[in-house]
Amino acid sequence: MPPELPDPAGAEPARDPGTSPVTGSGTGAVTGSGTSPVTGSGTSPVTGSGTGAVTGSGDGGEVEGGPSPEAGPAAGAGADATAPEEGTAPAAGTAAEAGAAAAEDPEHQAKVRRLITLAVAAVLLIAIAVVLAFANHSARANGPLANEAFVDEGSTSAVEAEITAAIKTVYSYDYRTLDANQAAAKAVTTGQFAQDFDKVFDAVKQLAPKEQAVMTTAVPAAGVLQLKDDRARLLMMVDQNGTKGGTQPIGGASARLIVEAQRVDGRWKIAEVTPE
Amino acid sequence: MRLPLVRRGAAGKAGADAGDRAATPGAGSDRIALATRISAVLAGVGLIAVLVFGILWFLALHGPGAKTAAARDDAVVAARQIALNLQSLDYNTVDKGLDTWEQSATGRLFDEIHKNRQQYADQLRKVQTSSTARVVDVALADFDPAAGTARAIASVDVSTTQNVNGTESVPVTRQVRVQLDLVRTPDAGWKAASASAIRA
Repeated sequence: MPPELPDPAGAEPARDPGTSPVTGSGTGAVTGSGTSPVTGSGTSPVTGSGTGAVTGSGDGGEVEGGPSPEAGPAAGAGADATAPEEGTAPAAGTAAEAGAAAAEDPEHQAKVRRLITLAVAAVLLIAIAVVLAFANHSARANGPLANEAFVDEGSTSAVEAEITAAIKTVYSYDYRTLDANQAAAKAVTTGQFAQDFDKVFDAVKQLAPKEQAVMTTAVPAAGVLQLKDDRARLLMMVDQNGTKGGTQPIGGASARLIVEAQRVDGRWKIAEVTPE
Repeated sequence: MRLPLVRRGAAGKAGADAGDRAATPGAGSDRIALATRISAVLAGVGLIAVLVFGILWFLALHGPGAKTAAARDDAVVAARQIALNLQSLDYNTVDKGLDTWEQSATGRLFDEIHKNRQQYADQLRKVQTSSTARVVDVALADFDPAAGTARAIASVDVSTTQNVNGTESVPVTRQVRVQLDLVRTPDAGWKAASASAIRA
């Protein structure tokens, strides 16, 4: 028997004790305390059989070799681990001895300890990673980087340049090129603003030819208020000037506009315009 | 003595499994080895994720981008206050008001205010107007944190009342567009080196 002890095959006899732990534990406490190999297990048969039963039912194949040593280091007491073995032992002495020996095999115990250490480390590290991922996400959504204006310099200058051009396009027209003006404006607008633009421009299409109106828009100053991903908000100072009948000036307008911009397929477009 | 009953079912299964295991000698060791490998891989992945997210989180709060963002926000806050200061002046407290102007300015603008201070004060006391500003929005048009320069534009509503024969007039509000060239001074933060209205 003893040579077989470390060998998992030593588990084989446990098949019989498989049912016997019923009695085994009944007697186990007796034998457990009776067989002195497990000294100091006077109280441990209780916990020992407890863990033995749990792991045994979950993963019975390792009753002798596996779970009990696992439960042992986990419980922090090798003596406890052997206790359940003692519990099963009376029914099949070979199994008990095999289990006890396996549990006491330092190499095996070291392997199990390494497994537990790694498993605990994996759980902890993944848990910490999840917490950090949330913290990172939250910091980027609410911290200083919630606004990337002038942080993302490329997007900042791109949105300013493209929306400045877009505003000029949208608010400029010539009664001789209205269809082209409308098409150009549609290309630099998006969403609700693009739809609303058509309605406004319908009025322009009716009036402009009669008045021979030409409207030119300038943006003397613009600044990026907010930029995050594909959304931006700009403050734009806008001047509109025009003529009727070639020379007669149309009352110009100077405005302060808050422009919501959206990047669509890499190009910034006007999504909303609010005068202030 | 409940224990034996509890263990009956468990033991039955344990026995069966023990049989399986007996059929494949070494399965327990193999399982431990497999579980160890899986745990090691998961721990490795976890460690990498901790490092990656840890660094990303740190950078989000303390990285160069975050520093630039904080400096930008400082400049915007300063620009808002400066725009407010330079558009407000009350003939009742003209000296205090002009002190505030000077405190908001540096360089050329400071010199201009300082040189013309008496003239401004006399003029204001004569027309007896009080202007109160409200900054609707302020944005940076340019920002160079390294050089410590910025250009800000602001929408300011300036409400002005005039004292006519002892009675304050109804306030008149003008919508003003202001441009400020800002310089970060070594000891007193952002100040305006020039201020102008953006006219059509």
